[in-house]
Amino acid sequence: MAARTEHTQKRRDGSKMSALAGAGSGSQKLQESEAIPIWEWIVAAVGFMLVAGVTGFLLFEALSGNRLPPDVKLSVASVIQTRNGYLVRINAVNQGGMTAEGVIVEAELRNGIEPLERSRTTIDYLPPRSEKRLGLFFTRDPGQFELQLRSLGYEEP
Amino acid sequence: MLVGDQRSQSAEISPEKIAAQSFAIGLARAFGGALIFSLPILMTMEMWWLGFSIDEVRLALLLLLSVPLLIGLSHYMGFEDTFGFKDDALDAFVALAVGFVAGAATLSLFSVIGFDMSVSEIVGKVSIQAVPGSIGAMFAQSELGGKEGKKEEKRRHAGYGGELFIMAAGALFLAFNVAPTEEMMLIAHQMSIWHSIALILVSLLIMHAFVYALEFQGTASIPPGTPFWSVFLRYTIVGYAIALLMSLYMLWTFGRTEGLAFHQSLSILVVLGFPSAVGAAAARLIL
Repeated sequence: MAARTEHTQKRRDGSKMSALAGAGSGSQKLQESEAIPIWEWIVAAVGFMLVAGVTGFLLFEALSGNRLPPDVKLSVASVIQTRNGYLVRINAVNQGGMTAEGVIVEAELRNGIEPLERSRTTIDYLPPRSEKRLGLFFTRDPGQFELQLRSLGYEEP
Repeated sequence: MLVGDQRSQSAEISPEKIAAQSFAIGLARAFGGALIFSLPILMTMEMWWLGFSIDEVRLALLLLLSVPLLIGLSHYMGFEDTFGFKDDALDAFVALAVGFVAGAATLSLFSVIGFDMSVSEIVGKVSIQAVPGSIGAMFAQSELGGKEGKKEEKRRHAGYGGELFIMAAGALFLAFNVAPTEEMMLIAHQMSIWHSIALILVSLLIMHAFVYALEFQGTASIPPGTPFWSVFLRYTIVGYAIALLMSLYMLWTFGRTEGLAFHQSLSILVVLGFPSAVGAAAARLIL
C-alpha cells in the first residue's frame, strides 16, 4: 500500500497530462494497461459473467419456468429392519414449479383394506425439482403388507 | 480497491509481478471481508429459504442494482482522485466474483447446497448471498485495508449526494441482515403503536447522534456554525427517509409484506428502519 501513494500521485499527474494533451494519448494508454494486472481483468470478467449469467438464468426461469403448483412425487427408496422396528426410507421430489412449505407425508400399512399402521412426517421446505429424503418408522414389516404413500398438504412460503 | 497496483523503480523485480502480488493480497483481503460481513446471513436459514422462494425477477433486479452500488462504493472508498470509472467498475465485478465464490464455498461447506438440489435452487441460494458478500468484500478495503495514513489518503470528498449514497449503502447492508429473519416480523407483531412511535424517535435520535459525532470528528461536510435544524433536516431526516426507503426495497425484494394489512406492513417497516438507520448513520462514520 505504501507504494500506492506514489502511484496515485503518478496517475494523478498522468491524468493531468492527458487532460492537457488530450485524452487517449498513446503513452497514457500504455501506462493504464501496465497498471492493472491481467489477473484483475480475469477475476473481474468472472464476476461479470457470474452476474450476467445468473441474471439471465433468473429472468429465463421467471419467464419460461413452470409456474405449476407443488406436485410431490413420493417413492420408497428402501425398507430397513432396525433394532427397534422397521424404517421405510422415502424420496420426495417436487415435480411442480413452486416451493411447498411444511409438506406432510403419510404412509399407511394395510392388510388388504384393513389399515394396520400409519406414520407421518413433515418436510420443512420442498423447492421445485429438488429431492428430499425422509424416513418413517413402523413396528410391523412393511414388506409383508401393502404400503401406501401420500402427501397430505402444504403451505405457500 | 482490491488492488494495490504498486510500481517499483527497482530493476530486479518486474512491476507486473508486484502488481499481481498486491492484487493477490487485495483479493485475499476481499475474501476476508466477504466472510466477516456476510457470515451472519450465510448462517441464517431464512436466507437459504429465500434462495428458492424469492421472486426471480426481484432477485435479478437486486443483482443488477448491486453493480452500480458497488461501483459507487468503490468510487467513494477509493483513494483521492482514483482512477476513474473503469477501475471502479473493475473493482465492482471483482467484488461480485469474490461474493459469489465465498458464498458458494461457505454454503457447500455447510451442506446448504449440494448435488441433490436443482440448479435454480443452488443459483438462488448463492446469488442472494453474493450481494452482501460483495459489499463486504468492498468494505474490506476500507476497514481491513492495511497501512497507517490510509484514512487521510482515502477519504474522498463526498458531496451531499455522495453522503446520501453512502447512507443508502449502509442502510441497505444492515437491512439485508435483518429483513429475512422471522424475528423482525415477530418484533413488529409484539409492538404496540406507541412502541412504533418510540422506535421512530429513537431511530432519529441515534441518527442525529451519529451526525453530531461526524461533525465532532471534523470529517463531515458541514461547516461549523450551521444551525441545528439545518443539520437535522438535511442529514438526520433525509437519512432516516433513505433508511426507510431501503428497508421498503428489501421488504419488497424478499416479499415479506405480501398479504399483510397496511398498518402491519408499516410497523414492520419501522422495525426494519431501526437497523437501517443505524447502518446509514454509521456508514458515514466508517467509510
